[in-house]
Amino acid sequence: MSYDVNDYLLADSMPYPFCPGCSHGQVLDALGKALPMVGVAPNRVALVTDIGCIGISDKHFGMHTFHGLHGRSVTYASGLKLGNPDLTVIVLVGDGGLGLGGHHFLHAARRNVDITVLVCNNFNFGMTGGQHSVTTPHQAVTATTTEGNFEYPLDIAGLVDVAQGNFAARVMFHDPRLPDLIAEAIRSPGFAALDIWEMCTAYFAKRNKVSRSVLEEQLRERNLSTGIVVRRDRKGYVEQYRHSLEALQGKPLSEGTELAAEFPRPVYPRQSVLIAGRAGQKVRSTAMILGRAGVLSDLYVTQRDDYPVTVMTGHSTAEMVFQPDPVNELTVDAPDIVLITSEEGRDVIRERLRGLPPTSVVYALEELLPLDTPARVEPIAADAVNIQKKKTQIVLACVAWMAAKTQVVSLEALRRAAWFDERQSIADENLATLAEMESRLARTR
Amino acid sequence: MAREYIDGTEAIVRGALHAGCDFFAGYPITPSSGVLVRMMRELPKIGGMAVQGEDEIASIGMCIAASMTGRRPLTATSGPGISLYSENLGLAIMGEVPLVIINVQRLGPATGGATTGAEGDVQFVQWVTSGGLPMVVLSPTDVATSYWLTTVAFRLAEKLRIPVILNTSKDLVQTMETVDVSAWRKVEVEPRKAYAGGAPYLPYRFDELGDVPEFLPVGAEHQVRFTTSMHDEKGNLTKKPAKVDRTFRHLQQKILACQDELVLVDRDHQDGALTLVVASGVSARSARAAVDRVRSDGGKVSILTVYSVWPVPEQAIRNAAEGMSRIVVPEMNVGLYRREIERVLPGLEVIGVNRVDGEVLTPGEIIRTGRLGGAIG
Repeated sequence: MSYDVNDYLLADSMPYPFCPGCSHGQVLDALGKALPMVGVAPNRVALVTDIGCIGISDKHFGMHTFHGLHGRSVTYASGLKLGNPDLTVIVLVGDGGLGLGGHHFLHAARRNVDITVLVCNNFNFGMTGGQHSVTTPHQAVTATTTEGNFEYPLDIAGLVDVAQGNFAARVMFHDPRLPDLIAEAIRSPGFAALDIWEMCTAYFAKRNKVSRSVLEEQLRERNLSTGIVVRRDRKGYVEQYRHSLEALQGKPLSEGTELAAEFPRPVYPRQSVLIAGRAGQKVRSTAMILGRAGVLSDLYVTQRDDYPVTVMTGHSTAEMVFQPDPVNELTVDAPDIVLITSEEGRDVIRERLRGLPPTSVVYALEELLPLDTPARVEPIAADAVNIQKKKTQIVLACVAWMAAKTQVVSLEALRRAAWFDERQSIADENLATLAEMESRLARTR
Repeated sequence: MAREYIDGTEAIVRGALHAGCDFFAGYPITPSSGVLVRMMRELPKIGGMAVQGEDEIASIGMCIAASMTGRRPLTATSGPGISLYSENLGLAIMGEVPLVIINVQRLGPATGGATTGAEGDVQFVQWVTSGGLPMVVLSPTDVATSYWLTTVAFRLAEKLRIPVILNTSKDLVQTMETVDVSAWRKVEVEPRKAYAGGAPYLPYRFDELGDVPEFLPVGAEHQVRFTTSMHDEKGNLTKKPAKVDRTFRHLQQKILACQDELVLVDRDHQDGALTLVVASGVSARSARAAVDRVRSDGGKVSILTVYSVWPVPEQAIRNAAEGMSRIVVPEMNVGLYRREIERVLPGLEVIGVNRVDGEVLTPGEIIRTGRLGGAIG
């Protein structure tokens, strides 16, 4: 099926609403000519616009249109393309929107998202009264650069190049090649952009000399040329996505692991445990094993973790509550049992240690003593929980120690809980630690 | 009984997938990054699309556009990201875009405390954008309600064609707990009411102000016009006062017309109680524990847990407060929702129990500051 310009540009919507002499109309006409060359059905095309004079042009088109926030049109275009990869997505944006959304433009080019961005570059903000934009030439006069622009202009096609986008061309609005270049950009897989140099008769052309020869002089001064300036053949984003994630397609969603009540429920109304260690000691994942052991023992458990913004350094704590019925208290005034496995952990709970009642028990590595607390303190000898000097096993060894000395969960439940880890190598290492601790604890009993 | 040991993040992701979510875009931010990581891993399995945007603005922009191609999108962030979502949330309201947003509250303002919990976005999420149209906001209290309310958020978003925020917090998404998955509540998400007529399709046409326009995706057979600007039924810009008024009132009225579905509370009334606790979020959990303790000590107290925080379920609050002389509102902020309770219940003594140090309120301090211990009759 073939289409003509009237299938895309709506004759009954004319004339364009632009100022006398404005070049936007010529760009829209060129887009209308380019689309039949590509031959894509109008209802397979989405035209995205944002704010600025060029942004009000969507009503002239018979394709799907999406009019969004200033500067964000490239994000919507990306969303349309990813949402429906069968669409041909074209953006019409001014140099204002390009400047505001430069970040999006850069990353769409880097990702090589399969969209075409037509930048209608008339070197200033027309709709808001002729302020300077990111493409205003050096020394040009605008409402905000009355003494001449001392900033330097951005080269849009060059931006596509550094971001590794597939296609970029620079072209004057009156260049007869414009429809062909637009068609070429649309056909090109991956990201494509056209930097179309335009004429703003309301503001820019009133304050600066703008003619064909002046624009050409600009090109020479900036060492730029017209025509296609970037062409690569990297795969487009949609194809990359499909290709790289093909292996996941059809795999079952990760649902949780059911934990049956395999062990008799320990007899207590509630036990609260606070583990205080260091990031990198696997406090959180060890607490998860302890928590799973609770569930396997027919208990309700909560585990609230705390750590600073740093990774692998600083404190790491897990506050846990075990009881026969659902738990609402994520934090308790005074934990029944405290387990301290590092200096950082000890220091961060200093205040809480002082406030503990004498009925609470604190198990702490002996090197961390003495502690300022009214609670009963039970030291853990370094040798007793040393598993081949592995820092990542010390909390688990201490938890096993605590399990042997208290009623929270049994060592058997702990071992079963460790078995459930998704990663086999980690499960194996944890199981070996627990087996070692069980045999050590059996000897000392 | 099917017990598992999971956190709120996993419940949200499972809720979203069970609600038919097939598009995700987000940007890493503690403490919500877990949702991004899981969605990136899960969505390709079902042929969905998940993207890590270059920033929050791009992420929500992609979600909005994908929604208009017929996808069911989700995004997740924390307070600073909601600030960046602000303008696009307005766009989603104006353009009638179904979208679910997870806000995992952390301590603010600004960068605040990335790994520190708080409930300081409670007012912010409602009035998050310019123009004066409020957001619908749901607030879970634990892992099970995180799942349930995620499905509710999708249902409301799709049904009303609005953005819906699930306002959770660090202490809910990262806390692990025992859950009985077989007892989880879930609502059905019905497909958007589709346009079945011929061309031209009028994308913003409705009969009654409270009606939701029929949907066609961008890419449908007939032309679809989407706009974030004030528009007429064709989707063309307008500033004609009568048309502006009609569109604006419609955006408000379609939510009011759905009032019944928007009142989600749990009322636990005790006969003879003169004190009512009104709570939401993680603070509601501590409040429930406090109420249990007071009751087991022979005290009398009622509690109303509010899940649909915005619009404020005013009638449900008034009903629960009938016969009460004191209201206690525990929150991990300076007393943000308390303002609403004071507004809805003029003349009653309203006591705030507030913490802004990142720590979860303990049941003990709710009892002490709220003077629940003395609430015998």
